[in-house]
Amino acid sequence: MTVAIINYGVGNVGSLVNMLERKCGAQCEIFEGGGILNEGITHCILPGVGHFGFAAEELRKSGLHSQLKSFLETGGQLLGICLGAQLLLESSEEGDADGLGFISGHVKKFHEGHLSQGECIPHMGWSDVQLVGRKSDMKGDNSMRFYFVHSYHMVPQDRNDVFMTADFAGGFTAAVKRGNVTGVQFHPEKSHAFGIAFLKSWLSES
Amino acid sequence: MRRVRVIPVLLIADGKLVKTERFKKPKYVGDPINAIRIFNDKGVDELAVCDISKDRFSRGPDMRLLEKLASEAFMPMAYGGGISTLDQGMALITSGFEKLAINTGLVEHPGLVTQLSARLGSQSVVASVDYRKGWMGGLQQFTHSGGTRVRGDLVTLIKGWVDEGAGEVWLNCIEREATYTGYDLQMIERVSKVLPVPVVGIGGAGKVEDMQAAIDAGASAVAAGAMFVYQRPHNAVLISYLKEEIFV
Repeated sequence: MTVAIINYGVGNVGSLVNMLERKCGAQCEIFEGGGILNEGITHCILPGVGHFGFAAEELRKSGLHSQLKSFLETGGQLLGICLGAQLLLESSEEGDADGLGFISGHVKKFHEGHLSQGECIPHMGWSDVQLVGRKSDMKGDNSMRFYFVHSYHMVPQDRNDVFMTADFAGGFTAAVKRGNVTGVQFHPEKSHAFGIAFLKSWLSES
Repeated sequence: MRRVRVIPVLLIADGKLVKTERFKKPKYVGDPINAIRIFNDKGVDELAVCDISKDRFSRGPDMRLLEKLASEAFMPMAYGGGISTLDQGMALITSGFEKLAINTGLVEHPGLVTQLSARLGSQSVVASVDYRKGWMGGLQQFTHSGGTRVRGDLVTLIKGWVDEGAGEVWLNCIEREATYTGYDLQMIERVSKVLPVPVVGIGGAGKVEDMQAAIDAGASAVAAGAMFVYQRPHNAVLISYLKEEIFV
């Protein structure tokens, strides 16, 4: 299986590519816009670190927005990681640019007032994650944990779109899922065995 | 219940994986990429890479090598060695490192820690403090791989690095490095009592009980080098990790 990884100039996708190719049995194709997404591609990843507004602008300018839209219309699986997940929503408190809007809702900054003792923003480190309202075939569901680095979090409008939650600042949405669109706030590529299990599960979706 | 962070520390010199003892006698122990791959499979939650090459200050972080190492790692990584500017710090974060350890730069580049933490957040900036007994018998901080003494009271200095913006302190006891004699519990206790940020004990780990003792003394995480790259009693090279997690 070939996975397209969208590279719009945000961060090192090396560990993501290596994890997919060495541990998940996938081939990766780095896609930088300009051309068109290959017809045979069934799975596509939108990674990203950095500023929401800047990245949203980049996606629009490079025409990736409309390409991803038609990719979804043909039934492809899209996975956003970290900022890439936030970009799936409509807007963010970080910048004025519009998100992709594949999932209704907004991205908000963590509120200082919601922090428990010992917590600070950005949320950085490993957190246990709970699956919400659906059965999963992921291994080790009971003790899943992932690595996070972020100051903003996704707030989907429809509660049915919440896929995973994690305990920080009173609890937040760690992952969203609506049909063939999935977004994870954490970094599977930095979450060793848990990340591998998650990516394998996602790759098995069609 | 909290899972204790247990961080393997990999030393590199001129692109090779090495291990020192009490900051001396760097010994070749293999290839850093191979070591990272082994740690991937062992489910290590955090890894530290420190470049101790002599020319690290003049050339800065070896970005070509580090980008390769970051691409290999399936866990968050910290990097230390020759960071002297904000731009270098930004480049390291972009290339896939999560934390920057500043040691010699604490003294040589005043304001660097403040700049880095203002831009990246204090959780990404580590004050890496090497210390040992000075010639008067008191504990003193050293930079340049233990070569240069920093004037002033050790605990006061450490508080200062945190005030400047360091979000974590690595407390590295030079005299214990690779000796398997256990962590410097006294110092860990003294420092963690007065700091609002996590303290990581480094130097001396030989067994799980040593780590447990460091946590009991107040460390929020522990790091070790020799214990994870050597097999005793003869220090044969063998990359390993704890068989079970430590909880407190």
